[in-house]
Formats: sequence, structure tokens, C-alpha cells
Amino acid sequence: MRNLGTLYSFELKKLCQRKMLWIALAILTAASVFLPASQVMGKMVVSGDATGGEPQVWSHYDIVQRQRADPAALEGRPLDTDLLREAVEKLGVISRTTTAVFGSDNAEASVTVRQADPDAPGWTLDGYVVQGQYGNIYDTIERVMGSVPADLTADDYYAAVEAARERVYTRLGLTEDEIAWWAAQAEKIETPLTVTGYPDGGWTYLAEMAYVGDLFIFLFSIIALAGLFPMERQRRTDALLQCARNGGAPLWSAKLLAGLTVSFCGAAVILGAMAAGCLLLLGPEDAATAVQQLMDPTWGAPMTVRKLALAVCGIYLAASLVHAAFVMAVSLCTKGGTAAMAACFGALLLFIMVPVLPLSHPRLNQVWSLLPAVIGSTGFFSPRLVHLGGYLTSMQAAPLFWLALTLALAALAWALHRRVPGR
Amino acid sequence: MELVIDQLSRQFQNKIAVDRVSLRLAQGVAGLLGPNGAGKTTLMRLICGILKPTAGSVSFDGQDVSGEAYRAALGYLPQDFGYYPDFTGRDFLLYMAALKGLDKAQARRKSGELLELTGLADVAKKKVKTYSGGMRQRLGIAQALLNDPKLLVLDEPTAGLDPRERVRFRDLIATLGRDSVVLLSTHIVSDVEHIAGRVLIMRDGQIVHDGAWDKHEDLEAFYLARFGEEEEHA
Amino acid sequence: MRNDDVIKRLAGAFPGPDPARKRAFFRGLPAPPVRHGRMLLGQAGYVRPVTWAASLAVFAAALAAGRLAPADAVWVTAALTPFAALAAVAERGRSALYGMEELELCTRFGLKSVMLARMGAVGLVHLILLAALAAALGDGGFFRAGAYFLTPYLLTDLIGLAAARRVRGREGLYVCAGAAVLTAGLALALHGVRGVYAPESFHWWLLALAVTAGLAGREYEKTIRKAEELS
Repeated sequence: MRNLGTLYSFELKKLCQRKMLWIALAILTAASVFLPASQVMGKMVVSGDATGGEPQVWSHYDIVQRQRADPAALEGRPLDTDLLREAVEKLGVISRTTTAVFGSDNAEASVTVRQADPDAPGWTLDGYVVQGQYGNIYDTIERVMGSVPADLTADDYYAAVEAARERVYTRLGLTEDEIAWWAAQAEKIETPLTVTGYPDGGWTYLAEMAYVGDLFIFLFSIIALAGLFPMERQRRTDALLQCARNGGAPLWSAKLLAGLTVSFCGAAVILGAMAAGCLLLLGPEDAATAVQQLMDPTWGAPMTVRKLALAVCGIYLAASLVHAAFVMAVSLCTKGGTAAMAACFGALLLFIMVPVLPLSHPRLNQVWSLLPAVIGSTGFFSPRLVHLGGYLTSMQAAPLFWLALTLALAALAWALHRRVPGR
Repeated sequence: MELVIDQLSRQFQNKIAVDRVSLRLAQGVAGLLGPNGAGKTTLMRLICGILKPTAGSVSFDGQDVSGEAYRAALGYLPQDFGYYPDFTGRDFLLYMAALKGLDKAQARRKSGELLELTGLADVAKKKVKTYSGGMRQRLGIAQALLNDPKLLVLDEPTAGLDPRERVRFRDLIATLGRDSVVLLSTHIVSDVEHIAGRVLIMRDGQIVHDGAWDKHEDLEAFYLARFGEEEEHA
Repeated sequence: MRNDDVIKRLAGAFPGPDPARKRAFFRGLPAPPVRHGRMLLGQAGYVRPVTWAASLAVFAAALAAGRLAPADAVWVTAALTPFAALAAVAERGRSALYGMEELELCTRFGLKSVMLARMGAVGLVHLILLAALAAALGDGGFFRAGAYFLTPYLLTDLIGLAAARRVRGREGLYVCAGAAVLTAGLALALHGVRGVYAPESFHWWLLALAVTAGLAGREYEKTIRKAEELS
């Protein structure tokens, strides 16, 4: 196409000259760093029977540092019968003998602990850290088995994990072929799993909170791109452009490419800032079995937290293209940039408030769960598969789906652009 | 009635747009001519009180420009004005009438009269955004006359009007000049020639010519000759 | 026959004389007294329906959230109030947006009165709506909910005021819309952060409210002063 490069660079320049774009990027980047920072801000005040008198004050920063420094108790240990029973024993005592109420009505305490057995171990920072280490294992036992038997064995645990998987597959209506495929994936995992100690580091937090980064990327796209097409009408340059030789497809392509570029670069900055904040403040320690412990244990593919976080961030970078195309298509439907912004924000609110559609419409449910603004809530670790030649998991299918969605939205934007009166 | 402008100046950062202008305008039509950037529009805005002077004063019959009584007697047609797109022509006039302090009965009466006068009665119920450029200009003239102003300031009033309409409005302005002070700024020298009894020529913020004009003389030739001479000397 | 009938018939029977010196007669009448109150009420009537519709839409959406997802009602409402502020900013800036400033400035009441009337009308209605929402949705108390709703509203309002003074025309409105989306988005994102909407953090909200209210007040004052002449 003639002069596409020149037109593209001018469109990019026009976008980058808007101060609001830079203000929005700065604020969203700061917010991306604030999220991990909030994990180490503030303090926890523990009061009640278990503190032996004066309330104890633990800063969240101290808690994080202690947890990072002391994963050795579980590092490298297999998740076998011994470890499972250890977790049950350590946390079972606490759960039987204490009641911890978080965010209690005591304005001065974050946690009020009532201890039924005065001989049970009290709450100390060290004890809390240990609780955290065993807590992930204990939580998954409770979730998978429904109860926490004192005579738990590894065989029982892994059998319960498999049974829990089956229940999820049945609830989601997976076919027999799909169930067989997952069973084949599960066989690739060697049991017992190995614990790598610290499950709450920066990579884990990044993997968990990247969906908020996606929300920020969507907001950035809305602010940066809602006025991209309407601005020509508002500045009264549309008549001049439409009668120019390259005022049609070449100009439209240049605008689209510029919009995709800006959104992608903004996404890289936002996710990069979030990653930097997470790793610097919460630690760059990797973890393996922690993933299965954190996420739904029915999700079988082995992956370390670092790989998972990078994969999620990479996927959300791809999502930025869908967001950009969506905003630009909406801006062509509406009369002005402001209306486009409001409409896109309304769509964002809808995605947040409706993270899942009813299972009575399985295909609709699946498509909805793959949308970029929704996938972070439920879609990434859904065992639903996409048939594309072979089977693809949601994480594998999402980028392909989004590429198709971007192209479809671009085609829609072109059709809308062409219906401008006078063409 | 008399408009008194005394040592009026207005500076924008590094540029003096109006430079110590002093004038007394009595009843009648005064035409203001000058090249682009001479300061005509700035002077008009100062007279209408929508710009504050850096120095000097403006008063009309003893009322200072900042007073409400001054604005009650003022009618102004800007060179370039906007409109609320969803208003009809009648709505626009009624809205401006409300802002000019007319009560509803007066507003309705005057709006009806002025819509007839400006030939917009047939389209009074249509939205202003559907009007042509000439129709909008006529609407602008109509709103300037709503409060029956004693001081009428018109900036390019005949721009966008076809020749027949232009002649009609020239005649209207001439009629208004019989019992009001009218200051008319335009690039169309023939308009000034036909109706202005006094010609003011402005350049670089100053009044370089101020005098009565004999309608039998060629103003355009005088204007071009005057600026041609000045460019030679400059 | 009644007098009225006689008068009507007489008027219809003979053509009246042409008016003479009509203009001079009307000019000689004393100028109507200044009625600021009537003018302000009149201007309130010129507030666009879309402004009221947007305000009511925000109110309705917040109430719907309160009904369908009571636990999320507070942060959803905090995320919606910036759009009510955007509607107020758009209404306030209509004169500049449509190039009517020059005409309104030279009228008897002036642009300042027009702007004050619009601010007053829309601002009052929004205050009532926000108070109603705080009363309806504020589980943790009226004042706490009020702070959660008013802070993003005032933040968007003050950015809009500042933008309108610095950026002409539609671009200024676009900046304000961007600010509304940003503020709303941050309110959305913040709900996931521990303790932001908790009682322990209320003093931070009060501080934020005080700061935004103070800055918004200063911006209002500058905007009103700027409306005294064309810029």
C-alpha cells in the first residue's frame, strides 16, 4: 500500500502527542507498582488469648521477608504421606484450638484470636510463617478431600485429587475423549510432587494479579484510542482526508496499526512495571508444586510459577491487541470519543460483573470465558478444551482466539469506516 | 447617546493588539476597516466588554463597559460564533433573549419580529444545525437586535450572505444607525461606502484614519492607495 | 351585549392605524428589573436531557448493583460516580464547546451567571443522588459511603475543570472523559487490594476527600473568574 509507512508514523505521532495518553500510562503504571507494594504495606495487629497479653504488631513487610528467608523447612521435600500428615498435625492443632477472626470488630486488631486450649502453641511471627508454609498444603487437602483425616496417606490424597478432577470434568460436561486427554496429561506428572518451599513470592503474585494488569491495559486502550477515528471529524479534517488518494484503506490501515502499536507498548510498560514491583518487593523465588497447591489441583500440566507468570503476561500482551481493536471498532460506531469511552467502560464493567455465563449454554460459556477481560477470573485454568486439529487448553487457545477476534474486529471497523457518508 | 473610548489598550503577551485608541462615536454608522491582524476584532471585543483592557476605559452614555446597564444597551454580532446544535432558530432567540434580560412576552414578540425581518420565519422551528451558513449569519444578526440595542457592534455582519441579502442588511443597518450607535467592521469596503457616515481605518492596533466619508468618493481606491503608500514608506 | 364583546367587534370592524414610532415607544419603556433568580431557574431548564439521563443512569446502575451484588455495591458505585461528574463537566463546558462564549459574555447576565446556574442545578441534583446512594448502599455508615462516592466524583470534577481551562473545545472534554475512565478504573482495581474499603482505611479516604474538595473548590473559583472574559 502506498505510503503506509509514512502514514503509520504520522498516526503514531498524532496519538503520542495527546497528553492524556501519557498521563493515563503514568497513573496506570504507578498503580501497577502499587498493587505488589500494598502486600508489604501496613501491619497486622494480633490480639486475643493467643498473644499472651499485649497485642503483637507484625508489619507485612516483615512477614514477607521472614517467609522468603525461611522456606527451608519444606524445600525439596516430596509431598508424600509424611509431609501431608505433618501439615495436618501442625495446622490441625491450630484449627481445633483457635478461632482467628480477621478484620474483627476490634478496631485496633487485624486478627483476634480465641484459643480454647491454653496449652496449644500461641501465635508468634515464626509460628505464623510456619502456618503459611504448611497452609497451602493444608488448604488443598481440605479442598480436595472435603475434610482433613488424621491418618491421611499420599495414595488417598492423589486419589482424591483425581476424583476431584473427575467431578469438575463432569460438571463442565467434558466429553470422554477430553477426559481421556486430561488423564493422559496427568500421567505425565510424577507423583509424589516436590515442594519448593516458598509459594507466595513475586512470580506467584504476578501470575495471580496479572488480570488486574489486563484491566489496566483495557483502560489504557480506552483512553488512548477512543478518539483515534472520531478526532478527524471533530477537527474537521475528515473532508480533506476522504478526498485524498490514500484517504481510504491506506489511512485506515495506518490508524489501525498505530492503535495496535500503542496498546501493545502500553501493555508492555504496565505489565513490566507490575512484574518489576512483584519481583523486587515480594521476591523472585520460583516455586513448582506451589502452583498446583495455589491453583485448582485438577489442573494437571506441570509448570513452575515463573513460567506460568511469564505465560500469563505474554498472553495478556496479546490481549492488548483485542482491546485495541475493540475500542477502535466501538469508536467508529459512536459519534465521538467520549461516547466511545463510556461504551467501552460499560463493556468492561459488564465483563467484571459477569465473569461466567450459565453452564446450560456450554459453548457460549466457553467462548465468554475465553474473552480477554474475563479469562483471568475463570478461564485460564479451566479444563475445557478447544478442538483445533488436536486439543488445546484455554491458555493455548486464547491467543489464537484473540488473533481471530482482532481480525474480526478490524474487519468490522473497516466496514464501519466505509459507511461514512459521502464515500 | 455617545460611545466614549479613552486610551484603550490591550496587550497579549508580546503583542499590543490595541494601542491607545481614543474615539467618540455618536449616533450613526461608523465603518471600521483594516487589514488582517490590525486589531479590529480585539477592539470590538473590548468595546463589548468580553475582553478586559490592559489600560483605558470604555463607556456609553456614562455607563462603564463593566456595568450591567451597558450590556443591557448592547447588541453584538461576533465574526465567528457558535450555536447549540439541538436548538431551533426560535429556541436560540428565546435563549438569548433570556440572557439579555427580556421577559417571556417581550422575548416572544421580538423573536417573532426578528425572524420575519431576517427571513427565517419559515425555518424557525428547524434546528440550527440544519441551517446554511447564510441562515446562521441572519440568525446572528437577529439575536444582536433582540434587546433593541442603542449600541450595536457588528463584526463582519454580511459575511456568508448572498448579494441580495447583503443589500437588504445594509439598508437595515443604515436604518438602525438613525437612532443607535452602530460600529461595523468588515472587509467589504462597498458596505462601508454605502452606509457609513464615518470611516475608521485601523492598522497595527492604532486608528490611522478617522473621518466623515463623502459617499461620492471611491473608498476602496482610497484604502488601497493609503496602504500602498504606507507599505512604500515602511 | 357585554362590553368585551363590543370591544372585540369594534376591533374587528375597522382596521387599526399603522403603528407610529413603535420602536421609540418600546425604547422609552423602563428596562425590566433584573431577576437573577428567574434567570438561574431558566438556565436550569436549559440543562440538556442527556445530562439528566446520564446522572440517572449512574444512579440506577448503582442501585441495581446494590440489589444484585450487595457486597460489591460500594466499589461499583465508586467506579460509576466519575461518569456523573463527567456529565456535569460536559454540561458546564457547553458554551465553550459550541462556541457560544462570545455571545453569552456580552449579554446582560453574562457567561459567569450561565455557568453558575448550570453548576448549581446539576451539582445540587448530583449531591442529592449521591446522598441517597450513600444512605441506601452504605453498609458501613452514611459518611463512610459518602467519602467513597464523593472522592472519585470530586477528583474527576477537578481534573475536568482544570482541563477545560487549559485545553480548548472537544479536546478538553476528551481529557475529562479520560480522567473519568481512569478514576473509575482505579476504583475498580482498588477493590481487590486488601483493606482499601475497610474501616481502618477511612482516615485516608477522609484525607483524600478533603484534598480533592479543596482543590476542586480552587478550580471552581478559577473557572468562574475566567468566565469574566474571553480567553
